[in-house]
Amino acid sequence: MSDPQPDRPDRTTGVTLRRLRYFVAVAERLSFTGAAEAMHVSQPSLSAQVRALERGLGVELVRRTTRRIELTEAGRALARPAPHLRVAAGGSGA
Amino acid sequence: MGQQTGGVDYSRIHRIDSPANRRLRRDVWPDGHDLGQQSFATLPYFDHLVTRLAMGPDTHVLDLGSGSGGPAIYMASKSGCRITGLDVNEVGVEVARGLAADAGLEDRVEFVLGDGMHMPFDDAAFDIAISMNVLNVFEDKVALFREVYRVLRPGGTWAFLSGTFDFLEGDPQDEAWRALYSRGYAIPQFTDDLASYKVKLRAAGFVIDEVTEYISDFRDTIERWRDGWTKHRDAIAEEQGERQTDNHIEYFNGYLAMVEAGKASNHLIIATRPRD
Repeated sequence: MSDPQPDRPDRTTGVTLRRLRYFVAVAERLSFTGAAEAMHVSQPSLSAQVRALERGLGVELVRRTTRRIELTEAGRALARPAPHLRVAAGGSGA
Repeated sequence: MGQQTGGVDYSRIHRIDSPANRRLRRDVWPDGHDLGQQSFATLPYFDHLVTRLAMGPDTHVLDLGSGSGGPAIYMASKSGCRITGLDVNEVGVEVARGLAADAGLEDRVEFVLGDGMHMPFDDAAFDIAISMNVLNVFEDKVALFREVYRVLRPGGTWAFLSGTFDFLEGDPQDEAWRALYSRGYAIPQFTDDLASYKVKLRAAGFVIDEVTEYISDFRDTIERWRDGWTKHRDAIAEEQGERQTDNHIEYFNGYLAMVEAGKASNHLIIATRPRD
């Protein structure tokens, strides 16, 4: 997929629009596999980007157990406003 | 990793993003647990290594046989450690570098093309060395362990996960299994039992700290790989060729039978290079 604008990481946080979009895709489906398919990337790549976002923000956003995926409180807080960023970024998001 | 001989095209396997590999991997790993690993190691193994080996921002870790890089990147992401992956497969190294960029970890994680028997690293370059389900491709384990010893600093830790095999000389069934495993999926494989690993580690100068057998989820993971390869056989064969694909399925079937017969297991061995 092509980004409408260069995906420049914020040097201090590593937060990028692409990583936010990937996180939103996970949050909407509660599935890394489903999000990776929707975003046309491999699941390891998508997971790495979400972890990069978590590292940049310094909080865990998504909890992975062998049974299911769930959002942390921080993840739920970020997922609420984040869909609007898709509009700002011009991407289809999910 | 190791001697890249035989007919297997590992390059195809390391293309984790190919259509067949995506379908396969989706069935093998629980949701969110696909790091890109080709081994039998599930995500909790890597979480355990990060904690048990005390990986942190001040440690430099070597991943011997890093494949397509996912586990190394995961551990660096979890712990903040520096990690260098070494692999003989160019595609693996290329895919790994892409994943490191995805993870924003190019400053902490490096992937190097090279042979484990002659590592392109200085003496005492690493605090920790790990290897996950790779060692069976190395014929001369003592020489390999000496090379790991060389690149570890005194007091450094060497932790590896490996299949272990208890074949009886002269037993027809055991000889048949050994032959199947040695043929592998076209890469020659060299088996050791646990006692042999211990002797060879000591011969190379290591002190053994801890041995843990991981058998239950190991069996399940082999079965999931087997089921995935079987289910997606035609799609994989289109990418990797029929021979390699069918060899792989036969290999997983044989491996599963060996585990169920108590002939094959999986051990995490942690050893130390003593301080001078």
